[in-house]
Amino acid sequence: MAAIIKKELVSYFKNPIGYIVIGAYSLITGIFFVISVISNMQTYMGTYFGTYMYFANLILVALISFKFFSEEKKNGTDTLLLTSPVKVSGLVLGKFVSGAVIFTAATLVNIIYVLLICMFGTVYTGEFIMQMLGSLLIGYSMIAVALFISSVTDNQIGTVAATSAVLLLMFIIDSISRLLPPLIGVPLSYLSLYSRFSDFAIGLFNPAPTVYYLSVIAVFLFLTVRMIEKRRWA
Amino acid sequence: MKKNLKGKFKYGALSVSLTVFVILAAVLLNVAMGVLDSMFDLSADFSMIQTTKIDEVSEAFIDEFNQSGLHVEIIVNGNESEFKKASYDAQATDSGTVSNVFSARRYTYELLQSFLSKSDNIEVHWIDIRYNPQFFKERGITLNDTTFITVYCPETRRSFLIDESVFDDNEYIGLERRIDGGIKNVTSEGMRTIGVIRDHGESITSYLWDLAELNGYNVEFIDLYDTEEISDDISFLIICNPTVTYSSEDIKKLDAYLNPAVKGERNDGDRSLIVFADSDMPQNPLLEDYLSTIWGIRLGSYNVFDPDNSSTVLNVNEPFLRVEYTGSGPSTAIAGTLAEERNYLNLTLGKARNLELTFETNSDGVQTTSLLRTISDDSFGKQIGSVQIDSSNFRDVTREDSDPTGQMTVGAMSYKQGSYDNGDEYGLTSSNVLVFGSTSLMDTYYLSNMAGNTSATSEYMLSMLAFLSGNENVVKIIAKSLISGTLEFGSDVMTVLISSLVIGLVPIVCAVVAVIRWRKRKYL
Repeated sequence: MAAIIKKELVSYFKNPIGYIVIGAYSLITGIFFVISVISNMQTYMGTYFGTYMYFANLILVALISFKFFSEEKKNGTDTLLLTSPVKVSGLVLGKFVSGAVIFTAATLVNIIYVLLICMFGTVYTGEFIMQMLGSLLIGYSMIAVALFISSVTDNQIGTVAATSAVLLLMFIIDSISRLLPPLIGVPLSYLSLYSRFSDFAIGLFNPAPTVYYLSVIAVFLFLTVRMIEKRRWA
Repeated sequence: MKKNLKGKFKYGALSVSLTVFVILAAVLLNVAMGVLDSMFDLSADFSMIQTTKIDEVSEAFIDEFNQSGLHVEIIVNGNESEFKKASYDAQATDSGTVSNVFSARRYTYELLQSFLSKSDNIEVHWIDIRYNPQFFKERGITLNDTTFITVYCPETRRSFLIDESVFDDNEYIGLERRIDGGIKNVTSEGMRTIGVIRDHGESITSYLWDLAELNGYNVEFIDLYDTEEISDDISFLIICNPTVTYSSEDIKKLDAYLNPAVKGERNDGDRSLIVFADSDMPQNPLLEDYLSTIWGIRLGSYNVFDPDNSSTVLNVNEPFLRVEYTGSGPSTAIAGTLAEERNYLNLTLGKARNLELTFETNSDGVQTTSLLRTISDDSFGKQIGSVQIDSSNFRDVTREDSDPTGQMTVGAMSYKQGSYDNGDEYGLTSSNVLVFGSTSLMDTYYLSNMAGNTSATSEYMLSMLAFLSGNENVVKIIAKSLISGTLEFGSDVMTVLISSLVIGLVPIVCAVVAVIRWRKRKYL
C-alpha cells in the first residue's frame, strides 16, 4: 500500500498537475471566501464551509478522480497493477489515501485565510476546527465515491463527468427528499452527503454525522474493492 | 466447464451476500446512531454562540420558573426537521444586499432543545399553522400574520407572541431572552402595569416597553386629556420629554395619582412617577414647578460635559457620557449589581442636562436624593442652547470661566412614605418621583448592546422597576448578543488588498511552482 501511495503522490508532485489542481482549488475557495466572509464583514464562516466549500470540494475531487483507476486503464497500466503482488484492498486504500493527502493539502489553504482574518477580527478556533473536520470528512467521502465511480468507468472524462454528476445529486437530493413523503424522503436523505454537514458548519461535533461519513467511506471503498476484484478475476 | 461455472456462481453469491451485509451493517449502524442521538445529547458544542447552551441568566430564570410548578408550551410555526438541518440563513442588510448569517432556524431548534433539557415543565410543539387552526383555537390564542413562536401557559391561559422579526436586530434582545420573557410574562402573578403618557408630545417610541413586557410588566399608553383619574392599576407612570405644556388639570391628575398612597386612606401599593427630560425639552412651566416645589427636583439649565469620561464610536452618531452612581441608599439599591465593587459598571448616557435638588427634606416628609452624577470634578455645564451637541464635538467642548464646574447630578429621586389603616389592614406605602436629565435611559439605541454600549442601561432600568416594585431579587432578562465577530479592515483599500491576497496568493505560488516543475521535467 505504501508503494502505491508513494507512486501516486510522486506522480502528482513531480509533475505540475498537483500544483495546478491545488492552485485552481485555492482560486475557487478564495473567491468563495471573499463572497461569503469578507464581503459580509463578519468572521462567521458557517456559510463558507456549509455550502460554498461543498462545491469547491466537488470540483477538487472531480479533478483528483481524473487520476484514479481510469487513468491506469487509459495508460494500460491497470493490468500491471492487477497482476502485481499487491492486494486489491491495499491498492484501493493506497489510491484513497493518496487522494486524501492531496485533498488535505489543498484544504489547508483555509488556514491561511483564517490567519489573515485573525488580524482583523476574532476567529472562534473551536468552531473553525469543527468546520475543517467536517470539510475533510465530506471530502474523504467524496473521494471514496469518486474512487468507486472510477472503478466502473473506462475513461477519464467519463469518470470526471460521472463523479461531478453523482456528487451534485448527493447535494440536491436533500432538498428533493424534503418534498417527498417521509417513507421515501427519509431513506433518500441518507444518500445526501450535504445534509449531514450542518452540525460541523455551525461548530458542533456530533458522533452521528461523523459515523455517517466514515460509513460512506467504508462502504464505497468496499464496493470499489469488489469491483476491482470482479475485474481481476473476470 | 461445469465446475468453473459452479465456482463462478459460488464466488458471485458470496460477493453479493458480502456486499449486502456490509451495506446493511452500515445502514443499521447509522440508524442506531440516529436513535442514540435523539435519545441522548451526544454533541459537543464548539460554536461561537454556544448554540446548544443557554446562558446563566436563562438558567437562573428557569430555576425560578421550575419552582413555580406552572407549565409552559412553546409553539413554533415551522417544520422541526427543517430547523434541525439548517446551517445558515440569508438575511437582508440595511444596504439592500443579502448576507448569510448563522442560521436562526438552527439556533431556534438548538435553543429549544436546551430549554427542554432544563425543565420538565416545558413542552415544545412544531406546528404548521395553516393546517392546525384548531390547536390554537383550543388554547384561545389569536396569532398575527408574522407570529414565529407562541409561548402559552395552560394554567393561566395567557399567551405571548414572538414575532418573526425577532432576528432582524439580533444584537438587541435575542430569541433566548424573548423565550425567557415570554415564559415570565405568561406565568407571572400580580403583573404590574407601566402607564406611559403620550398626549403631550412625549417621545413614546422605545425598546423599553418590549424589555418591560419580557420582564413581566404590562405597558399601557395613557391620554391624560381623556382620563378623569389615572387608574389604580398603574404602578409606574412615565413621562418622556413632553413638548406640549401640562395644564393645571393635568398636574392635579398626576398629584392625585401620587397622593392616595400616602394619605392613609387605602392600600394602593407604591406609586411612582418617572420623568425623562433632556435639553431638547421645551419649557413646561407647571410640570417643572410641580417637580421642583412639591418633589424637590428642579430641571437644570445646563448641558453637562465630562471630557475625561466621554467618548464617541466610529460610525455611531451618538455621544457617550459615562456617569456614576452616587452611593446614596436608593442609588446603590437601584443600581444593584452594576454598583457592586468588583463588578462596577458605569452607566452610559448620551447628552444630558443637570438637575438640582431644591431641598433634602421638607415639612411634608418628602426626601430627595441624587441617583446619578458625572464622574470627574472637572465636569462642567454649558447653558442649554449655547452649544450644538453631537458625537463629533462631544469630547471637544471646552470649559470657560463662566461655566459651573464640579460633579453634576443627572438623575434624582424624591420619595414620601405614609401609612394606611383601613381598619382591616395596616401598612406602609410610598410615593416616588424619579427625574433623569437624559432620555438615553429609554432610547432604543442605548438600551441595546450595539456598538459602544453595554447592557448596563437595560439592566439599570429593570433594576429601577424592580426596586420600585419592592421585588429586587428577580432575574433580569436583558439583551444577549447573537452577532458574530465583525471584521474591521479600516479602509476599503485594505479590504481590496486582503481580498486580493485571499484570492491570489496561493494560486500564484502554485502557478510558480508548477512552472518550475514543468521546466525541470522538460529538461530532464
